[in-house]
Amino acid sequence: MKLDSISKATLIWGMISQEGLVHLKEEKSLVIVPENRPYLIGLKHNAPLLKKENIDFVYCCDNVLGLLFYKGKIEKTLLFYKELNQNGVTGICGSLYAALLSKLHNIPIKIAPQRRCEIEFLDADASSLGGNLFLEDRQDNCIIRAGDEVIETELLIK
Amino acid sequence: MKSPLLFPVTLKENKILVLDETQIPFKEEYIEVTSLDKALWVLKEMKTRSLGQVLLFFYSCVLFQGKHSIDEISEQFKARRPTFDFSMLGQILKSQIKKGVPLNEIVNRFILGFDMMRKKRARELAMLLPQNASILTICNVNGELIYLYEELRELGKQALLYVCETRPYLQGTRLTFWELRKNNIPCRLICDNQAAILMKERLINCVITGADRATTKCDVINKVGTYSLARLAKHFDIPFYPLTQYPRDIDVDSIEIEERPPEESFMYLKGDYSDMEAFYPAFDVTKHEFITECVELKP
Repeated sequence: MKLDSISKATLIWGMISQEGLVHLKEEKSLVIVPENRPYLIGLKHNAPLLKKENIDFVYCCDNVLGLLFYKGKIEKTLLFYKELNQNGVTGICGSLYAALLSKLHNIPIKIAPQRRCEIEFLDADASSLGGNLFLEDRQDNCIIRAGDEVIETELLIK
Repeated sequence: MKSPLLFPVTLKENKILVLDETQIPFKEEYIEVTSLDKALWVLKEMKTRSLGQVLLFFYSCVLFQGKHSIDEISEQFKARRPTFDFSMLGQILKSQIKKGVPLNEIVNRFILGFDMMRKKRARELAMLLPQNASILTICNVNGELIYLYEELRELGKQALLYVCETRPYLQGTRLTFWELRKNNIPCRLICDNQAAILMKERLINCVITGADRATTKCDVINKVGTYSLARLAKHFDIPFYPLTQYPRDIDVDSIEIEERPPEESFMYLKGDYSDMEAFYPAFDVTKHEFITECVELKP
């Protein structure tokens, strides 16, 4: 797919829940599925689910989001969170990246609880290429571990 | 301190030797180029990029000038990598030829001058950075971060570099992180999407990127993901410095953004994803309002 053929798309971040699937099915807009490094949730979890439900989607690397916002391709962001708390929500690695870029481009963010499941995907950290560690003399302190991220309430309100 | 990425393409005995950047960090292999077709293949397949594609263009002009004109070579190069300004490189060569300078001498002078200028630029940038620089970067700037680190140390400054993986080709992981570690420069590897949380936690105090294109207004086009870093940096009040060269007085939005084959989105991942719809624009645009200062290459 080419960038020109994308418009009014919904960006998703985090692990889609059943509730999220119903919502995306009703909306009928094109869904942008970023990779969601390092666990590859976009590739391993979200894309197969959307395909099974016949929901129109397109896959991209996480770092393409800025260009999509810049070009006005995204109409809405759907953020799946792990926990809802007093200050906002807690989401998977990169949740703040997706939410803050949405906010900076005045794109509304909808939140929904994510599906609960164990993550056993291949690229568990940034040191691996397709599951193959390339750092032979790997020192753990060279890799920034992927952790949960808190997104404050004010960022989620338009 | 050194890196083969400082000069990834060389000319030896009528052959262009191109460091196959797609094989790093696993192998340091060189591809022999003896025809324009091979040079174009190397370019299209991303075996080299950034400074490497500049050198490949210049050496192609030197080696194949009998069979192909400079304009023809620049058009062919542009057809493979449309975002980069090969016609400007052709203009540089043609203006010097008009002055009677032989082509191979022009290229040799350029290479020597380029290295001196980037060392000078590294010095200038080092002076701009804080005492304890915590630098976020993306993709790869052909060894210039090594020069920067040397300059920072010379000035008595400390530095730690955070390197974005730069999916899907992983130039950050495979090239930048690799060359920094080879030179014992303190560095950390992060997923592209971790930039925001690192900035929020104040682990980053400046962002440095390359620039494939730059305008006189200081708008830049660089590896996709650069724009996000600039927007986030602006939000967190963190200075953003792209390394620019040969700015032109043009509208940045008029430059074609190269879209690579969608299947490249799955590079370095196990599995067959050929039936999945994907897209991969290779560059993005960052306007000057999100840039603190373009650090230009100057004579």
